[in-house]
Amino acid sequence: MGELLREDEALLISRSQSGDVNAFNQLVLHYQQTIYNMILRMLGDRDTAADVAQDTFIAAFRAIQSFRGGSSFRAWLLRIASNQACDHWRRTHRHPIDSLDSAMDEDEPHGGSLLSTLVTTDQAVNPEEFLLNQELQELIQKGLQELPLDQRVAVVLCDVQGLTYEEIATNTQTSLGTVRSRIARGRARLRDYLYRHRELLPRSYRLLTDRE
Amino acid sequence: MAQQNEHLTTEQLSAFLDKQLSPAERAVFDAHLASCQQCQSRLADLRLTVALVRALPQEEVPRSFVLPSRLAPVAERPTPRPATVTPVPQQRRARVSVLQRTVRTVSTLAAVLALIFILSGILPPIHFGGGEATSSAGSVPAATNQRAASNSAPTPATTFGSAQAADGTKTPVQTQKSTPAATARSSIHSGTSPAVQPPTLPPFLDLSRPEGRLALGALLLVLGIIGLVVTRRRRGAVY
Repeated sequence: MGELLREDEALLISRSQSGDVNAFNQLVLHYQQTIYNMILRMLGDRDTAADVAQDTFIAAFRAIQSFRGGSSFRAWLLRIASNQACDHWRRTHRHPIDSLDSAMDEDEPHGGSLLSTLVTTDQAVNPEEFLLNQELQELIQKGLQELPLDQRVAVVLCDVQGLTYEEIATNTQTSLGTVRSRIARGRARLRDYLYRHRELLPRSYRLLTDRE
Repeated sequence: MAQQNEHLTTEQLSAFLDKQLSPAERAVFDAHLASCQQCQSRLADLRLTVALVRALPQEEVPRSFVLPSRLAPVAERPTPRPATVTPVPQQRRARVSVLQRTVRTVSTLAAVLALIFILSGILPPIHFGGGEATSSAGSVPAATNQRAASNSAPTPATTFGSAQAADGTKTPVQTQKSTPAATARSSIHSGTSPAVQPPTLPPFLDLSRPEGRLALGALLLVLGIIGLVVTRRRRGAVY
């Protein structure tokens, strides 16, 4: 899908605000993959993600009057999506694991290289370009779902959606410091999760395992 | 110097990856990292974790999430606040519920009236039980005669059938609910003269007779029940 010009987007938004569903649907078509993937990474299940994505667009259309021009429409949609995803998660997971967080979140340095031993050196050189195989994708996805909700939102918005810290702070209605802390703790937790499950990784990813 | 000997926190490492360290933090960071193998490998781990998350592929949507255009009339009235985008279905729902309530009230009234009519239709036969019993006893042979006649000759059978049908439309429940006396009387009516019957059928005249009230009561009861059943179904479909 091609990029939506800023003026075009503004026009579509203002038409949506006066009740034009067709205009809003053009925005839906443009953003649905972003929103769907955001929710999928939050919740992990494709069918659920589709349902929550649909709810997100319905909620967005109903609330579109409250959108202020000038700010990012994408960030605004992502806020609704993350709220919907969090609501869904809370509804379906009555006993969150958050109570254990403080004990498990270690902000202190720990010894040795852990995760970098899991990948082959040529991938480590330029890791952003490697293709993840299915098992590794699933492992990362499960690791994301292990994160407490606030850390998960922050990590997904930052590392999946590429939002800035400022946008995430606006999105989650917190301070920059909180965003920074949540992202760091979420990433550290995910790193530990991947390391704990290194035996599930395909052979090529654990050539140098347990060197410490 | 003391700061340089302290290992970097995960938050500093993470913020460094996003270029979110302040210049002062950055200076401390660089100074420590250059001389600390441990923090270098921790940074590598964290960087790899981030790279793995970022490498998750964008998945295609399983279906389109465009909104149905039936939402269009809902929002076609420009309204100042977002909350007012929703009221139209509520209005529609309110209109339906007003209609429902009216139908239900009318149906209930009809049912109550029906009970009154049916009671007033049943009570006289009980009150004048003796007289009715004799008349019914006397009429039974007449009815059997009629049936016998209808069996033998085809033309009277049709007139008898049509007469019963004409009467039957007015008294559908009568034969089920009323006493044997009443059924006997209805058969007498149908049997006597279909040509004379229509003038006696208008409600004003009919209401003076117990079977007329029974018939009207039954009709109202049926209408009332239909009204109540229909509104109940509608309510289920709306929500």
